[in-house]
Amino acid sequence: MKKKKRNVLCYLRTHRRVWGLTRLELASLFGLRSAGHISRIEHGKRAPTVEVALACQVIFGIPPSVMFPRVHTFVEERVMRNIYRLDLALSNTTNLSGLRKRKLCSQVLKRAISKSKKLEGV
Amino acid sequence: MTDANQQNLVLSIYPFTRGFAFVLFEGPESPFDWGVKEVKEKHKNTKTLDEIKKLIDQYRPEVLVIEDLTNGESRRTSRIRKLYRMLAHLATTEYVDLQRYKKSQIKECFGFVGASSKYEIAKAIAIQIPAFAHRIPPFRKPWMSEDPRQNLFDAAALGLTYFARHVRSPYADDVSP
Repeated sequence: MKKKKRNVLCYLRTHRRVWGLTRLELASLFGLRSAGHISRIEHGKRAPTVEVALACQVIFGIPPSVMFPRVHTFVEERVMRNIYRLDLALSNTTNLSGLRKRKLCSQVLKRAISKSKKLEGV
Repeated sequence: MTDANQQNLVLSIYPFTRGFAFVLFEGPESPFDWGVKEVKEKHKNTKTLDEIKKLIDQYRPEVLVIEDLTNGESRRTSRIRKLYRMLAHLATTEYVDLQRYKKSQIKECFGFVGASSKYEIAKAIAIQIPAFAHRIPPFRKPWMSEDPRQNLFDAAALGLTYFARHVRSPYADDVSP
């Protein structure tokens, strides 16, 4: 039998507990009424809103891509797939607007390749 | 800390009379999750095992670290001994590596920082991991029963012993013979 995949959701719970904050205290810092919202984010039942992600960066000094790696990976994969499709669709374009868009696509793809090489240690 | 470069998780478990303490490590100085879960009712071992299985299912650790009771230097109850046997079986069925450490190995590991008693080891851990510093229990007098928070440090000591014995120090190359 194959080993199941690990399910690390986010680091919000870790950082909250490192600083001894309760869910209710963190919710009040975020400007939320209930601690249930924090619980759902911690357990991966709800994706963090932009406000929550930015509030985490303000409070803990950790960027959203590090605090919520799973959401970041999911968004990154979806965007990269769409960028690749756009690049393919614009492959025969000759107008200036299209060429500008292709430049953006190539920059995004180049950034992704250099990032993955860095992660692999190449 | 993205999925691509996450380190392997190490789960250390320390059962006690009223439940169990656990610490999930990403590295020797970075605990990911920790806590003390109380199991008070009947069939403690079954319920404790269910809780530990939930943790394993949630986090999928690479290694499970528990206390080694084989040489008889530890005075744990028969229930806890049975629970350790059940944990060993659980680790096998869940494809998790199992590591066991004796009390003497833990003391040897923390001996380098001059800590030998449980309280001194807890203080050494609190210095190494600031997240635990506010959970350090008061010094136990002979007439006092053990604080439940001490079990968290016992679990952390097991995890840190694993890292000290199995993970190569980044400064190892700097030491000249």
